[in-house]
Amino acid sequence: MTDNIEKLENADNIEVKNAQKDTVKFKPGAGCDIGTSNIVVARQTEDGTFVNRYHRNMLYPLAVSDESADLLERSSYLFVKVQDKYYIVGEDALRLVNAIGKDKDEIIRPMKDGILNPNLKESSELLFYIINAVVGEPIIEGETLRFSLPANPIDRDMDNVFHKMVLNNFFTKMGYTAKAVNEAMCIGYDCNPVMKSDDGEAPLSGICVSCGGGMVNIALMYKGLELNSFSITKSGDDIDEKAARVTGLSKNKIIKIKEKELDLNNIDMSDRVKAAIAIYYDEMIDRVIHLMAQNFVDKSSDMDGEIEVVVAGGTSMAPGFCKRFEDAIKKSDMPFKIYQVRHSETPFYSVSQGACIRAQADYSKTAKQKK
Amino acid sequence: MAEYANGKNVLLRPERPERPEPGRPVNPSEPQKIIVEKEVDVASIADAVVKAIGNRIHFNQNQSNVDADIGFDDSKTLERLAETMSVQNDNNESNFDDLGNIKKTQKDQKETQKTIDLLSNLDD
Repeated sequence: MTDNIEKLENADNIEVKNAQKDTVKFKPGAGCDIGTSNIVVARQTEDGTFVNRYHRNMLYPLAVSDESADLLERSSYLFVKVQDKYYIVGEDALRLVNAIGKDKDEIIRPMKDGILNPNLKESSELLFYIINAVVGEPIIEGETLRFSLPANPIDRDMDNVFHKMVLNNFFTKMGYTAKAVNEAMCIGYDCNPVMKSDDGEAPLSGICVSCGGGMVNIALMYKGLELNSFSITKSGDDIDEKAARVTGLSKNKIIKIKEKELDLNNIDMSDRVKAAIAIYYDEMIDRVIHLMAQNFVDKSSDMDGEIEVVVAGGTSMAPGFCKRFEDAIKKSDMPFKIYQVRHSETPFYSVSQGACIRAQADYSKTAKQKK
Repeated sequence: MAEYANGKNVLLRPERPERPEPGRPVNPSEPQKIIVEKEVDVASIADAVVKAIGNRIHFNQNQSNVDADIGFDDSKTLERLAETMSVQNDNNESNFDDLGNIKKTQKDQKETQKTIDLLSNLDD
């Protein structure tokens, strides 16, 4: 993911700078993508620019001792002290692990599979601290905010209700008027899929796919309304694990190859590792499309015209991913006519920007009602 | 040496304890002491809550929070538990005020405004 971010950072016309106090004027309405791997917050300036603040959602724990206190005093690592441990946060966790030669598997996450990590005792306290520091205070009293929420998966028992309540409490305590928004719908608000029919073109109508690390979120939308939404497990992280198992390489090595060298448009099948990763990408895409088609058929989902599929998320950022996705969709039993699969121009920021657009609409609606 | 009452040949027995009523305990219990801890261990509560919810996840697939067997709605319990999760311990500390890097992106402002207008006319 880091490398994907770096690739985006190097793209033309996109300014990147380190975290600093923002002095520009924002429109009211903030969007938050609270993901397993990253937290991204988007706001829009008066001139229409989206400003995304992103943070790696990872921690490295250190027991409180004279040695660790000394290390933190001498270094510039960012940390939170909760109970009897220091937690080095974000990229600093990765830097410290590299510096002291520890296994990267010792890095922990406050979230797992899109919701609070039930195996981490201090997950809510840590997440609250991090969210506070990334999101910041509301720019007006009771500013509207939308935070992304994964849909419940169709291939595993999981309930997102409690996670939604906890995050809602977090943001309300911070002074926001907060609401959850479906993760895949955010992709739709950001990318605007269009349906073509005899009656003309309908905006915000199509299939939205968010390919995250742990899950793939899918929504069918019509003129901005959510008709059907669900998620499917086994996404990018599952590809890493399976490829590591079959090649005997560590998961971190696989991730490195996947993010730095892999091009799904051009796979040398004699390269055992890249071939394995590509094969598991195909399996993941086929599985997602199979379950997606099955769900739409089961729910008798129907659309009156030809629709567009929009795709975003970290796992979709491998070159050639969308082409493979489109090829697989053409061969599937999807109950709709699909004229195009389109990749988001900003796949890493689509969820946060979509949530920001939704929050601005909330603000606009409230302002209208007050008049 | 044995003692006799009033010089008579009657052995003085130690006074027998009063017999309890049938069904009552022989030794009355000590009054119960309730120890109130002043410090609330937020992390432990959070841990228990997350674990309980983690277990719940495995058997509750519906989103309505209504137990299908008896029609009991547990959403209020969940709300109260969620409230405990956002309680911060005063002893927590950090060495940062804000986090993250910034990236700016450009979008067609007219298109974005159209989307905002459309969404602002919709119900949630």
